[in-house]
Amino acid sequence: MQHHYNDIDELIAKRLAEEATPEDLVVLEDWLQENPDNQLYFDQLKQLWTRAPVPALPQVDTEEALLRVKKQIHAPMRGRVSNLYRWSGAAAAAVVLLIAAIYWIQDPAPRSMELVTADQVLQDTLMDGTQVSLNQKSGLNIRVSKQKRSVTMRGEAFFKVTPDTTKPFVIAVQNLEVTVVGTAFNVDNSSDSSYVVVSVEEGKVQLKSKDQTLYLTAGQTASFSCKTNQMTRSQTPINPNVAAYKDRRFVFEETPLSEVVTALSKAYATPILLKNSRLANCKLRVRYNNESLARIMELLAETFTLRIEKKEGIYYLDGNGCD
Amino acid sequence: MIPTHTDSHIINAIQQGDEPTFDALFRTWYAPLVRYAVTMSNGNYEDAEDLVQQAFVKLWDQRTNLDVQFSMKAYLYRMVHNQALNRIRSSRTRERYATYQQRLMEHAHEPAPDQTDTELQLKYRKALDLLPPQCRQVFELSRFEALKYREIADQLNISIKTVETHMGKALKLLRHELVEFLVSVVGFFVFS
Repeated sequence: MQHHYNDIDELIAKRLAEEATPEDLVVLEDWLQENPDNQLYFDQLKQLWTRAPVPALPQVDTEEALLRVKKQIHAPMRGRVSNLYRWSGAAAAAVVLLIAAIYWIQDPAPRSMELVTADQVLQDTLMDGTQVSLNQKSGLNIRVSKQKRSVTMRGEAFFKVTPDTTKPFVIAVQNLEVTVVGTAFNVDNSSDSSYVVVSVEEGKVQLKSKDQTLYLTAGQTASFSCKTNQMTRSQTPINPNVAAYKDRRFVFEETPLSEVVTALSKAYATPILLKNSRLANCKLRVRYNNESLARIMELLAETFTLRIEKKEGIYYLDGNGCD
Repeated sequence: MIPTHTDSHIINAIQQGDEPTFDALFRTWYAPLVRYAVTMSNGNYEDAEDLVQQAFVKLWDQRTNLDVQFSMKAYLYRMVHNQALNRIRSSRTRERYATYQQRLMEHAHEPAPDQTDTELQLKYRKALDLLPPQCRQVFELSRFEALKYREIADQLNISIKTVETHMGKALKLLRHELVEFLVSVVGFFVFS
């Protein structure tokens, strides 16, 4: 078969780009056998293919970019507006700016701030210097006045409050008020929305409901029932993994696998299921420091000789269990 | 061509508004798409990142009527491509539009500062600059972004036959420019 030169270039390109059909490959093979120069020519084009200067992947901050996209996605009003709307939008923005400027002149301190998360954990510093880790699907709003720092929130957040005796830090969640001066603690209203669970890591926190006041110190936990408005101090010591979603540090001390799996599921927002209930009794004593979930699964599999399967985003653990 | 099994799984999840899947898709393709978008935004990384982010926002907005013909990957490249073209069209400066292709050629392959270039790589970039614009675009989509011929054809609104022609032509022209820098395998065996 006689081929025009252009055809052979196309044929070789198809072979290199893995687009060649079986028939193409036969034709190419015949052509290569025809003459040693053909083989040489093929090798040259192959080198051009393999040694092409593929640009390196750019250094981008993917997580930050994703955060931006999520912000846009979750913004209530956006996009596809006509020019008229755009102008009225600009006018409205100007009015808002003007009002903001008046406020700015009256009180130069920023007055309020809002944080919202979708599927990521957000670590941020509030305008009073308080550090906050906001778990997934949570939100908080802080307003600073001359007398106090008021926070409203939903979901779950960990706070490391900057001490300021002149302005107590007050969190309102459901009908519960959590007041602190400077301390580190976790507020959880996400696991079960009918309860608010407060765990204190350092310092002292005051919890106030309609008819009850309770003080918690470091290492203590209390739960508040939103239905009965009653608070109970937890008898069990603080769970070291209560705020693991913020830094993925876990401490397990002879912890049953069922609890381990619950803690991991929550922190990595990935369902993990035990296929055999006898696995629940396996006791784990280990520390994990910001490992990937896949890595932890490997380690668990080794420790308890488990079979691990991931299907549609869910991990299934199976094995003989521990007696 | 029916999308692969994994892809149809992803497409379904996105259509149903599953954000973790959307996040995973974003994390997988963000950097490669930015690399591609840079070639369509005069080498400006900020514009490129913005282009890709807007493409993902659009993907989410239109998730209920995704029309994925080949693969999710090709769909994303196409969205970025169209987004870039829209931006150029809506740009008020005519000059920018007129010199778009030319600038694309000049800036597409500015090496990263820390990249050490072999002589071949330098010459190779120059040789790519000499290719006709569409010929080069086709070659780069195939070689750099690993898109299939039919995906390239779909993205650029040309026939698969045209893609084949461009690919053959690209290799032929590149060889013409670079033949002296290629290792001769025959020579290697004789002299070593």
